[in-house]
Amino acid sequence: MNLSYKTTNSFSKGAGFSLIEVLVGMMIAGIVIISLYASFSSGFALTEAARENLRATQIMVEKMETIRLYTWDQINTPGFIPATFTNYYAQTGGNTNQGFAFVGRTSIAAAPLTTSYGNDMKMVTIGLSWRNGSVARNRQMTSLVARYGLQAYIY
Amino acid sequence: MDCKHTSTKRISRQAHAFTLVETLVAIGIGSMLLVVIFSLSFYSSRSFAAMANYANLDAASRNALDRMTREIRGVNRLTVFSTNQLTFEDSSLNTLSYVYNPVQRTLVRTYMGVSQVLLTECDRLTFSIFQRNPVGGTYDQYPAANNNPALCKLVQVNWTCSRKIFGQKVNTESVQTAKIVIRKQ
Repeated sequence: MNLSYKTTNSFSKGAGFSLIEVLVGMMIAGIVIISLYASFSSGFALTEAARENLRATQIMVEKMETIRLYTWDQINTPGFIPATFTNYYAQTGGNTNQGFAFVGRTSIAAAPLTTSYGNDMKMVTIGLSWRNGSVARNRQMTSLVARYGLQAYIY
Repeated sequence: MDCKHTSTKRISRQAHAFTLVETLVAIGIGSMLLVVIFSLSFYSSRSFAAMANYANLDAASRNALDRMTREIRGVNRLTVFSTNQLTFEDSSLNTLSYVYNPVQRTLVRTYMGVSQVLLTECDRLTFSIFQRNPVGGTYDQYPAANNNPALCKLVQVNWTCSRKIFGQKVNTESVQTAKIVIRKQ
């Protein structure tokens, strides 16, 4: 009797995990793996958004930079500076895949000033919109251009 | 007798080895587990490397572009031009140059004889120069005739840098473009 008890005991020592143990273990492993993958995907999404933002800023700065090359007459001629433009993410020579498009718009409006020199200034706004997956994103830059300002020393 | 019988049975149960089926099943489960663990760790380390590369590339490109923009805006004039080299005379009449080496894939800035590598692993970099007058109805300027540096008012630069992960290019590309107006010229 005593021996048969021992035998049973030695078998129960070699038995596997109980169902509860397996379930808890799988749950913990699942949570770890899911959170690892979720953090990767959110990390990639953040990096992607930062890269797109950087590129958008570059495109807007590029357009703003050339605004100073126009004369006052050219700035006031409708259509001389196009109202819309499209730039691509990977817009460099020889790229077959240019990536997605940034759609831009430029508006030249009266300066929001009530001062005596208000009529000699214009407000240039360059806006850019693009889609990151299903999310629409917009950025814009605004600058004032003066008739007797930066252009005067060029011509 | 009864006692001895039980005892023998117990010893024989404990000492007996795995059967073939048990071994095969164990090897199968074990190798599946190993495959899962290895692919998981491979994917994870590649993702870490990709993120680190993206951050590093963007930081390097941004730093290079900011620096070039700041310096080129303030120069006196462009003196030497080719599609992979720009040489300027700065406001102190010193020589400032940016040279792209397509073999070493680097962009090197040299000022007063001191060289500094601004970009590494740069696949493509092109300089182009333009005059001051804009083309109506576009955002472009007229290119400097015969690439004459004396006519240069605006410098355009495009580049693409990339990194490799485990010997492969896995979308770690950084594309930069800029137009820089020389203020003084």
